[in-house]
Amino acid sequence: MRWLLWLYPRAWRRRYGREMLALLEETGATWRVVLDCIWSAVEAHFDRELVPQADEPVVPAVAAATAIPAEPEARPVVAPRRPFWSLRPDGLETAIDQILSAAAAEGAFDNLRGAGQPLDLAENPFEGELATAFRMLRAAGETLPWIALGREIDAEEAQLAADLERATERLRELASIDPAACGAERARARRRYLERAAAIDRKLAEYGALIPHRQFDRGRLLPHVAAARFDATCPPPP
Amino acid sequence: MSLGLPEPSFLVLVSLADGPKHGYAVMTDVERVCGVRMGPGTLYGAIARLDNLGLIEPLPSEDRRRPYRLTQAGAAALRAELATLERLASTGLRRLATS
Repeated sequence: MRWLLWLYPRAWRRRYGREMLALLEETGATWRVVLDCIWSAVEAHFDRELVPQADEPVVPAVAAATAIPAEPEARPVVAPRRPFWSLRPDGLETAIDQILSAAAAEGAFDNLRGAGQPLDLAENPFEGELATAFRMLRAAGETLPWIALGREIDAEEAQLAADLERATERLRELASIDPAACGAERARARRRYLERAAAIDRKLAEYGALIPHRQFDRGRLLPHVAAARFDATCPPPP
Repeated sequence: MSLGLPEPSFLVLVSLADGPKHGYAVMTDVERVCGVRMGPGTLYGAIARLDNLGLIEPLPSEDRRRPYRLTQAGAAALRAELATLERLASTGLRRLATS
């Protein structure tokens, strides 16, 4: 039954493999179980919410004694997952990189037609039968709604991060001038940050409903994640 | 549901609401309460999703089996989902009764 686990991504196996094998041994293998695992393994390859973010340590035994933790867990903010087309064993990527580097060093890419010239980005060789539709969209300065919404979210996330940096800097200055006012000012900044993060999260939910395929999904900005981000960048005064 | 969680994830949250459980205990609990037998792949898909969203967290392993429990965020999310469902159910039943 262990072979079923090899269908899952490596990071997933490392995190859940042992316990899932124990469960498979308890349930036994039927055709239904095998099909269920195959489907779930395919999902684990494509759904970013299913791939473990890191090898997170489990809650220590002392903390485990309480039923529910008193404080929300401050999860580390992780880099976005690699796109699905680069989900290959690292060894293979390295080998391809080596082949390309060796070929470039031997001059295999020298004297190619158009070398050194800028690419004509107006030409899209993959448009096919949709060329006319794409031309009309370009002429009108438009793009698909989910792409436009994605750009809007990018801009708002960047603005939110920049504003957080500025607010942190301002609070640092205030701490040296008037430490007593710092707590209230930070609470105001945190509230504003969380309100804007919630607005972005609503757009992320809308974006998730518009995308044509899960591979474009960007996940959500849930309140506890936004709060952890704020607290990590702008920790409360000692 | 407000979080847009798929049904298996919701069932796992409900199962963990009365305390930590490992995978097999969640599976039998869900079967007892809802009559739905989740496959191991579906169950661990839901566990991985909730774990990554910070709605549940693992506890130290008992042998190879690892128990999970709700985080504070998970309890809040479940409470919100259940309140929505409760409103929906009572509205639906009231409308059926008057039609």
